[in-house]
Amino acid sequence: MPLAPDTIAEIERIRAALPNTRSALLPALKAAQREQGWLPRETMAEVAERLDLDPNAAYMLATFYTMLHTEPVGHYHLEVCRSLPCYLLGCDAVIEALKERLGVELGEVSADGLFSVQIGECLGDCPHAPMMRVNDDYVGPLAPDTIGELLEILRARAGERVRGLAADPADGPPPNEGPLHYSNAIDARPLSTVRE
Amino acid sequence: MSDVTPQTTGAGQGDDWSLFRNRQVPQMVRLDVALEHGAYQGLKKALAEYTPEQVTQIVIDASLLGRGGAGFPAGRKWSFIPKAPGQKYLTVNADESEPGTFSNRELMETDPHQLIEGIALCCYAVGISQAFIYIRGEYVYAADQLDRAIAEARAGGYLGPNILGSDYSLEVFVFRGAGAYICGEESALLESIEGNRPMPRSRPPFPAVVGLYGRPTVINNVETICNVPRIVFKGADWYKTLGTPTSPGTKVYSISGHVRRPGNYELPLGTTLRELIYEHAGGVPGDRAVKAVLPSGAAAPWIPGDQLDLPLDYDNPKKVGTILGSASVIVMDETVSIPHATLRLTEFFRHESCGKCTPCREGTMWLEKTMERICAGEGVPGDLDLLIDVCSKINGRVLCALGDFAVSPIQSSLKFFRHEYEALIPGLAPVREPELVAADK
Repeated sequence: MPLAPDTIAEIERIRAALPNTRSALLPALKAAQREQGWLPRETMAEVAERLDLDPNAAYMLATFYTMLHTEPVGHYHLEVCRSLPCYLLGCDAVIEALKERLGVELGEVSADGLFSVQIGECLGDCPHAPMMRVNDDYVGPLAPDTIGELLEILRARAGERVRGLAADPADGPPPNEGPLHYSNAIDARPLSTVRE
Repeated sequence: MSDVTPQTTGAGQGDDWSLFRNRQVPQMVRLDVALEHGAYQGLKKALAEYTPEQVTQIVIDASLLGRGGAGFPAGRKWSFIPKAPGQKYLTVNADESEPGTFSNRELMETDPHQLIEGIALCCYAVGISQAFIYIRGEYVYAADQLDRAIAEARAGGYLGPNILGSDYSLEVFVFRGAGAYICGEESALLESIEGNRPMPRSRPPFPAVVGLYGRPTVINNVETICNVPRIVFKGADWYKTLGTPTSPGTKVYSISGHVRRPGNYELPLGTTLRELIYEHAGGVPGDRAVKAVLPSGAAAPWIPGDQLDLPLDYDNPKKVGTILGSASVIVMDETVSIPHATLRLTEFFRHESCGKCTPCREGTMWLEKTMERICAGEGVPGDLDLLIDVCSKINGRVLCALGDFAVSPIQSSLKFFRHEYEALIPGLAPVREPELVAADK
């Protein structure tokens, strides 16, 4: 699928703002992925070509960074942190609960196309451990017994705007509901949780 | 288990000098709100009263040590940049990917103009007209805040051409990463901005001489730069009233793991682990004993639970073989299986090894495999010696610190908790050593 005019304009804007064309490659790939959800080979090649670079330059970046997807992902891409602070607070049980509820293994997309699950390393939200990234937003703390309810809320909202997929990045996260706590993007709230 | 409640946390919270003084102010991203709360006073003062050299000297006099982990004096770093005219760059390291580290994120989200002012001061001092903030890709909200704050600061004359009517001009670009721990390593970070695979460079030459696009480049951490406005505005002598004589100022301690109130606490350098854990972070849930503490995320050697009176500054941790680093303190209580926790850290380093240097790429894989079989109860008696041997062949034989970091969890845990490994390996008689946590009960 060729890039949309808005994405092409964004790539040109990025290119003009940077001192070096090759520096625009990573932000341009991210802009392309924001539009298309992931990065098919043809998309990588088109991005590279628009920057007068070899397609391999794009492939080298797309296969290195965890946030660039060379395979399709779900409408919601769930990156669950498994680093030590989340491990100490029980992330492994959360990951198992997610896989079981969605009927997927890591890296797979659920049958309805709504969810993909991947494990990630520390995302910098340890006060809300165990936590995960849902597209552009952080959600936590998570608990295995409320994962089902949390997924239902996300499923019900799937028709709405989703940050990370063609949404205005200046928008804040959606409202909290039930076990779905967005732990980022709340003005003037210290990063802190009370545990007992 | 958790009850998410906003907390007013940390000494300095209500003080006018705290980096987090505006933490509770809504809409700090707006220039008008930021100006009401004292933003850009340091920049105004510097442009009106100080030459660039004087600004550098103030920061040198304040002995501001790099807050990202290495603790190198920031003012001296600035003074290494060649004085000759020509393009130079500042790159602010906002990659913050060390497990347990989340202080830069809160600094950027709650007071983006404080960072921008620090950038403007650094660039004025060094003679830089183009700065980058390299922020990890997952910090979307923080990056959005910075983009918006930069646009407002530029429109208000605090960035852009002829700042506040002077002949000093500066542009700032927020460069968003895409998920890679290695990008926090400064030369890999430069490669990432240049559009290459982020793999560390061989040094020398150092970035101060050959940095971004081959030009002299200052690389400072977010928290380091955020300290600059208050140092310039209030002076080096004032700054040195905080902290200890050799580690002046405050540090944002990020504390996570088994504590009741995890979060960021800005405290004077030299605060003890005990005070941080029990007075600020509320102690350990269930009043369990602390088994071990990781003082700087996954990377630094551990501190056993019987050494909690250690002051966390730049000097004292060295006396017990570790470092302050980024002061991202992860607390593990007595219920933790040390080999399993160590495996988790080893998996992290195996996953994040960039693959450039063979000892790290291959070594972290073999460490992970060996740790996995030990934790699965399938270890063999020679495995502990094997771990030590592989560690010794990574340490010091790679281009960047990641390889050295990768061996530290295994070396530390074997040093303090070898009996826990032995208990997992069939054929090794469990040799019980004295409980290290006993003194802390």
